[in-house]
Amino acid sequence: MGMVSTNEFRKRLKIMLDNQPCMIVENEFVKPGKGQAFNRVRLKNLITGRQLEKTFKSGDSFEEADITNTTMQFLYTDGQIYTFMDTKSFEQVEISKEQMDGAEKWLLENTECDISFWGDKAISVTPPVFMDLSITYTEPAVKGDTSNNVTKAATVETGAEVQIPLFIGQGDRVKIDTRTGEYVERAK
Amino acid sequence: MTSGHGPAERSPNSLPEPKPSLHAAQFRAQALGRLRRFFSHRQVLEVETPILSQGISLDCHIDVFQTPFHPLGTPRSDQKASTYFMQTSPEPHMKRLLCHGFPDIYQLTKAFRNGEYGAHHNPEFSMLEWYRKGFSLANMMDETADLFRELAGDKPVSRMSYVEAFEKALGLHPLEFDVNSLPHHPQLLGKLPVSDCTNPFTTRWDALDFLMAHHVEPTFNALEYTFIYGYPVEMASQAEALPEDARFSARFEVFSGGMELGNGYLELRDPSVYESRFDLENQRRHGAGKPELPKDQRLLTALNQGLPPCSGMAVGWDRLLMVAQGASDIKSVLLFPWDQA
Repeated sequence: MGMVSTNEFRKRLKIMLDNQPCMIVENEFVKPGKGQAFNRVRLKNLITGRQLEKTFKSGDSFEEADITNTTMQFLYTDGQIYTFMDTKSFEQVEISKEQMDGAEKWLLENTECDISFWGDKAISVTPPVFMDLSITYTEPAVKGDTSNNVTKAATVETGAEVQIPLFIGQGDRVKIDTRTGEYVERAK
Repeated sequence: MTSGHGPAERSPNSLPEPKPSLHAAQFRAQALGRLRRFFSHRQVLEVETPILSQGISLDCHIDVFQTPFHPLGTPRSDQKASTYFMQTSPEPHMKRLLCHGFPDIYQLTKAFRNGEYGAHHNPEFSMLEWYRKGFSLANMMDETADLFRELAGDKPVSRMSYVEAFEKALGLHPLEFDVNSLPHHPQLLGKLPVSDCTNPFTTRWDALDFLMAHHVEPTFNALEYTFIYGYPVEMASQAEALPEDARFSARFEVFSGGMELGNGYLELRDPSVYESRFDLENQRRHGAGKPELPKDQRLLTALNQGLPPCSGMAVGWDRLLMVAQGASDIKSVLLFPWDQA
């Protein structure tokens, strides 16, 4: 991969820092009228997911991280290892539950996910932003409780727990935002 | 414009142009009116000096825009084309006026600094600069505070020496700490710039710039104007050394919270000291792998006629408007920020 200078820093750029691939979340240019320039940068470590704040001398260069994204289809899991397939090359990759980092809560068989690779190592899985899922379990609404903003717990077909409005019942389909795990609307 | 391409045919990805803020324009126009009244009451003359100039600041940390001048009819490749620089500040021309016997002067002008772009920087910006004959550094701090209170809000003013500010924020004396001990300072663990070496700083001056901008300035009270005076003489730029302690200079900076608003000097007068500071900056440029720049001979000639004792002040006008409007990004006070220009 090429080198990138701090002058090219922008949101979402991925660089190597202490041998770890990191993504730039925020980049602030700091320069006194008289004196050297710095970049104050918030980064996300793409392996651990942790955010960190670092200062760079403006003009210094860093290796760009070899991160590629591929859309792959979820095939199956044994509960520990999740197997995905590239639908063009039919190549399969196995991802541990730890690396799934919660993405597994939303996956149905054949769900297409965006998988990030660092070199040939898969490091993160992003499910579709919205998933339409069936409610497999929820208590019936208590009669008379008609206030708005009241929700009840429900389990969806992937096994995840969500909060849904009272008027939704078992067997209904709902649209969930997988970034927040929140109910969006009744699915058509 | 090609005909027949109405807005309906615009690609769906093209974003509409951000709308220039009429409020920002009105606010700026009113501030300009107040600025002119302020200086006219104090009998300071407004001047206008060139933006394109053959002389330029040599400051190692400032990158300049430059452009060749070709007399009409000469080929563009003519070796005789002379280089003109977009001014990084109006200081050289204004000092030349003072050397020629002008009275107190001020101007609001455009200045240009290549590559400086961020929430507090626009490569093209407005600079307010003024000079007062016979003013001490303290007089200039007072006048600056008066101007700020009138234009950007009546806030309390605090004054601290550079040494006090460092000792208060980091417990370090700026000229006495051991540069090699910085990576072990409890407040700085993991907070020095990313570097291949344990210590990213080779000199005290590098370290002081960083510490000031990242660990001292952010501690300033957000609801006050903070004046910091007595910068180390190595950072004097064009300020006189302090008569009582030559390790420090008669230079101050003023901040609103952690944002630098301006820089003032008791102006250096000795042309030979100017020349040696120019040489020092060119050495620093050379060391940083940057091209050396010509010394401003016109300024040096004027200084030989004598600069009267005076203090000078430069203020980032757009930043002052940010403070006045409570804006956190310079884009809010510009009609067409750099990426829209």
